[in-house]
Amino acid sequence: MATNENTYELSYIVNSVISDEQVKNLVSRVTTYVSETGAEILEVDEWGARRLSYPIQKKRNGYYVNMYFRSSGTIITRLERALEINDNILRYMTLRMDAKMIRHYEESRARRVEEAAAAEAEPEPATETDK
Amino acid sequence: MNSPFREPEYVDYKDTELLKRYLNEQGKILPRRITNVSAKFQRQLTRAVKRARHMAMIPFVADSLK
Repeated sequence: MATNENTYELSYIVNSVISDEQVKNLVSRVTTYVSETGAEILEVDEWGARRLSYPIQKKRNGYYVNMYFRSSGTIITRLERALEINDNILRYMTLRMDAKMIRHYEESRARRVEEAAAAEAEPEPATETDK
Repeated sequence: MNSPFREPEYVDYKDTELLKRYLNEQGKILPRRITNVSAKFQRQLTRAVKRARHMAMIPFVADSLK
């Protein structure tokens, strides 16, 4: 529909003090919000809870999510405003991906898929898939 | 590091392992004088470090970066 589509990378940190259930809801809310604008979601890569390098709003841990999508640029300001308002989003960053970034992303994604497959093959429980 | 280091075409801020190689113990970006990388790579590095700092992946100031 949109004439000028770009690929975007959105990373955000969710307050991990709230329950796992709430985190899950928030992540899916962000994802639906983006997809409802007509964007094509390429991937939602959840890193999970990690220790922050410095405290943000007195929190020491955060739940990291990286999502990748294709859409027109007009939704970005609205999206960022929504993220800004939500108190449970500690940080966010949207980047428009240029050709080099897309190439890099595709390579790293292939690597991740491979690793996930390798982890699946191993008898030990995979950590990436539980959530 | 066993193979000669090739400068990647894009420096990902999420790759903190790579970024940390170019920071001193305080978390400051090392000058090109020390890192000996191309100007292009150093610029990309600087960008990526600043992005990573914003996302709390690496510290702005660290007393000890383990």
